[in-house]
Amino acid sequence: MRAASPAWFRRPSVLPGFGLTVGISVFYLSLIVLVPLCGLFLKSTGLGWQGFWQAALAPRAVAAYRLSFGAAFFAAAANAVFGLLVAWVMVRYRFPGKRIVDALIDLPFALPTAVAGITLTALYAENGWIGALLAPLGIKVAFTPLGIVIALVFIGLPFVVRTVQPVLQDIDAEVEEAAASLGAGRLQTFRRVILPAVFPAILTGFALAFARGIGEYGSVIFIAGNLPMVSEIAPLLIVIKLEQYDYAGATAIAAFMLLVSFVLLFVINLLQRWNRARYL
Amino acid sequence: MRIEAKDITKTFGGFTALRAVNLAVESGELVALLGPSGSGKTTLLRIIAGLEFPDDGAILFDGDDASRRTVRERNVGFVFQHFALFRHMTVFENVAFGLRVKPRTRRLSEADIRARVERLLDLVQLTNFAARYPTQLSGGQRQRVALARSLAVEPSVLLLDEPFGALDAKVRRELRRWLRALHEEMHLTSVFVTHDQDEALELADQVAVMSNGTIEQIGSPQEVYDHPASAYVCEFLGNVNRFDCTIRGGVAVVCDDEFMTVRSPGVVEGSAVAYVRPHDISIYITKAQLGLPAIVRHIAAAGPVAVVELAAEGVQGPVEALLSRTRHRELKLAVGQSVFLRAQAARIYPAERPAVANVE
Repeated sequence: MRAASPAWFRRPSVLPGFGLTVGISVFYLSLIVLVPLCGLFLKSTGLGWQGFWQAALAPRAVAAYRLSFGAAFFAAAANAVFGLLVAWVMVRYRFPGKRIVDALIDLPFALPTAVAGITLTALYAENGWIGALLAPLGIKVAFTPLGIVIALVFIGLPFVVRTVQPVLQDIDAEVEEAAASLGAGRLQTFRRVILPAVFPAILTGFALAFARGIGEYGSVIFIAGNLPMVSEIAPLLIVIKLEQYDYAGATAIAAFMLLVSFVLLFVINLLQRWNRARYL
Repeated sequence: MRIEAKDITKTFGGFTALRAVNLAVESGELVALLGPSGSGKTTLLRIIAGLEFPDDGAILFDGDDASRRTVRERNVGFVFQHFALFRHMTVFENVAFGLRVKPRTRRLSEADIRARVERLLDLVQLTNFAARYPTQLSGGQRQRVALARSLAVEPSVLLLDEPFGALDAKVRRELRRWLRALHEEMHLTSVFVTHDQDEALELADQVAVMSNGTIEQIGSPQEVYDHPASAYVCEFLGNVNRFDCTIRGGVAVVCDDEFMTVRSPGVVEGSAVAYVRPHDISIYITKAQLGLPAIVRHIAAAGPVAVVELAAEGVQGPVEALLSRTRHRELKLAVGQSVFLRAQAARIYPAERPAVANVE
């Protein structure tokens, strides 16, 4: 009975197969995302309410969360700034070797993260090329939280560049010319015209890089040093718990991280909607 | 303000967009740069604005060399074909933009900004749309916002790049009339670019017809329409019939049929091209001394004049003739009928050579 389905659910459309595509999407999402996540929560309930919170909010776990979310935040923030710059250069200028640079940007996507971690560690260790330069200044990178941020910056860069780039491309050079003809300086044009236009894309890129940073494991464990309470990230803590056959404890931490990540991404999404609803 | 472009040359890579172009726009005039795409009209406008810099030559504002001034310093209002509005700002903020970015010492107070923006929105009849965003407006409304925005900074020159190019025909005509009225009220020196000859002829005080990076002719609309300086201008300014013919003993001959007598002494014997406006073609049922045989293909009689489309031997494409309603009633033409054509007036140019003879 077609008439029974509510109007908002099924609108007449020239595209066929609404039911089919929605059905497949829901099934697929359930299979790939929802079922494993439910399994995760189910497993963590083995601890009981009290046990769950005890495992999830143990001091070592809290320190790990703080590090994971903090480092991911700072790395994503750094990427938002410099990713915008890179995207700008890629869109606005033509220079020799541009295609090579373009390919380089995607490299962190493709490179096995362990390779990135080992390379960065070699570079930033006190006897590495960069680490040796920084050591006399009293700056230690490898085996500190700073090292984690650097690894996450490396991993997250393409997310910002690739989300901002097409949006920047869409901004007509005419809009900038219009601003200049109205007397705006370069900085004013950037701040009042360009930035507001690409801000939603920056936010998306930030969210992606942030999410990736929270979950990143491979590159971080090599450069982090992994000292409990200091430079131990939450994903590593989960692995450690697993290796000790503390499955319930591992899932408790995982479930808690999942909750926090979901809330953060949800807030970013709301921010996006609010921002977009204003003029689209 | 008087604008003068002196020997402007501009190349892009291997392409010469402008070659030694000279143009003078008198204070308070509305000038049209008319030409097909690629003729250099937009480049010339952008050079006047300071959005582009010439390889050679100078731009003078009231006699002062402005060539080195950037677009910020030239105090020009520029209106773009695709509006170039700031999407994330309301109509009000778009118009206020130029006032808000002024250095603090020269910036108006918030109340004055508000008052001026409201006056401008009133001028472009968009008072009720102040809080809307550009995506919520129609094309014509957006272009009026763009115009108000450029006028907010009180420019000494208004430059418009195909201002009606992205609009549909009806809005176009309305906006055209409205712009003319605005110009009459403000007498702001204005230059606009267009490829639409009707627009240029209807709106401008002076029309500069451009082709291939040069200005072919500058003059009042009537001047360029009635006395085109070259075959190119004649052909470009719309609705002419082109006849490849031979001048033989003072008579223009198309395919051995005598078409019109050429009395003017300037015309050289030999092969030539005659341009005849549709209203200068007369249709006869019988052949007198002169007459080019033709067949009626189509008649559109609805309107102030009847438009008759004919096919004539030796002429490429259809020939268009305009008949008054009385003449149309007299002739009682029917599709498929054989008739004879005669030209009452024509512009005759020797074939493949720019030259001049006005035959009336």
